[in-house]
Amino acid sequence: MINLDKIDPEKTFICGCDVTLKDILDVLDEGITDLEIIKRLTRVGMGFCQGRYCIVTAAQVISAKTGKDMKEIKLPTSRIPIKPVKIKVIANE
Amino acid sequence: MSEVTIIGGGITGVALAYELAKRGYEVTVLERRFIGSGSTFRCGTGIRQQFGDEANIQVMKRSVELWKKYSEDFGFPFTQSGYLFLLYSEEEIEDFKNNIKLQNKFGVPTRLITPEEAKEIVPLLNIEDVLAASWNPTDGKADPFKATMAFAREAKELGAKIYEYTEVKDIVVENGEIKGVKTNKGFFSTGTVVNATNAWAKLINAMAEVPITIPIEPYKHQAIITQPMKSGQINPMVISFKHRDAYLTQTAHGGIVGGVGLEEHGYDLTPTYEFLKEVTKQFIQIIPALKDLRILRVWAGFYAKTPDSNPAIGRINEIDEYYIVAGFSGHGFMMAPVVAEGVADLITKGKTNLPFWWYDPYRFERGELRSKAIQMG
Ligand SMILES: Cc1cc2nc3c(=O)[nH]c(=O)nc-3n(C[C@H](O)[C@H](O)[C@H](O)COP(=O)(O)OP(=O)(O)OC[C@H]3O[C@@H](n4cnc5c(N)ncnc54)[C@H](O)[C@@H]3O)c2cc1C
Repeated sequence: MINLDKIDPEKTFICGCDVTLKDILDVLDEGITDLEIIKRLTRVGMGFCQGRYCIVTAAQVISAKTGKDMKEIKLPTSRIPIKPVKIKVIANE
Repeated sequence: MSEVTIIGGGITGVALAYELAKRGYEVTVLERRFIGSGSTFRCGTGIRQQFGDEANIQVMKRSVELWKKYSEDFGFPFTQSGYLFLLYSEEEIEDFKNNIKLQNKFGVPTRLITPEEAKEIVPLLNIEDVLAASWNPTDGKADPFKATMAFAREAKELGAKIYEYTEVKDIVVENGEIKGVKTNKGFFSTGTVVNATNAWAKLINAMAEVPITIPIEPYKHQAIITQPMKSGQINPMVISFKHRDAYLTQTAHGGIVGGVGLEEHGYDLTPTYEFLKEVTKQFIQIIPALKDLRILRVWAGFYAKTPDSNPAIGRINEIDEYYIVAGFSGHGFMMAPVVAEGVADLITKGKTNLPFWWYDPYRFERGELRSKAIQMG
């Protein structure tokens, strides 16, 4: 469990794509607690790592703030490609 | 007991909830998963007035006014960055000249421009075989996540109730009168039902035993998003019918979002390699510089298609009170604000000033199909 009180939300990055802890807390403050929607409003899990590094952290923040059990937080669908791949590679250019 | 119960929490359902709540109605939205989880959160973000018939042009002109107003009032991103249709043959140019004339008649400032002018708008464009382009700078795009959540928030603030993870299983109708709906979370009593489930509309119509034929079928359509590139390079929605009905644009975050028209009938949503092959092949012909970008994601959603690519919107007279608002055929995101306004007027006043007769749900039964609405992807 993360102790959210001990860290600065504006300086704590949830993922490598510039999403801060504050971004997530702001959406939670609006009463939105569904990871599927938090993902799309903050863009956590929508960058290069496809959520591999950040989505579980985001889920833990939700769990810590709302008291929801981690088991109840469904992780968003993983999408292809598993790793980002260049357009020319697929187009055979 | 709710006066109006809307089935489906996509942008259509939540925008309608907002409009009804604003008119003082008690309204409930029932959504099977989370808000936007149907097709809305999977859309290409595009909003255009470039249609080929009077009704859709007028309706979309009003929708753009509303997009402007609500994006300012509610604070979500909407930009009028234009739609650019690339034209590659004399026939295409003739068709678009006719469309432009019609659009201009209703005050939509579309014009035919040269390939060089198109390249000024999107410098990365390959204009080699382009003969002309149809350009309307007042078309645009909006963030589907922020827009949909904003309508939901505003609806709730005005007293609308939105129940997520609540799936409608049956509609109880007695002697032609709606009594309520059965869900996995219990019974909701109501006198009016609005079917705003788009791709799933036929299943809900069957529950209510709608006695007329309203052909709306789900078709899988896929899209991609790439890693961000420098902002401001592909501002408009770029369309090429020659490249398998391709559409693409740059999002506010810099990624390129778009797709091509490869479709499959049915409720499957698995992304395919075939699509990935096709979309990459077409995109690099339109904008060669895209070849070095990495694809981050491929996903699928539904076009809920009718035979003339126009939605079915209106009251079903045989059931007291049942409305169908579905079958958007791949352009329901852009229509949502105007559809919400018009349907709210239909429900509360029995009429709307907008030319919604074009979307008459009885037209299929009567064999009066409309001219096909322009569709891409
Ligand atoms: C790849 C792609 C690109 C697109 N690009 C564009 C674009 O650029 N511009 C544009 O305007 N449109 C675009 N569209 C179309 C657009 O996404 C849809 O027309 C629009 O989202 C329809 O919104 P809706 O609210 O009517 O339907 P949906 O968002 O599908 O909402 C219907 C809701 O009903 C719910 N539901 C279904 N059954 C039940 C039930 N039994 N009980 C409770 N709830 C139920 C579903 O879960 C769903 O959330 C695109 C679509 C796709 C797939």
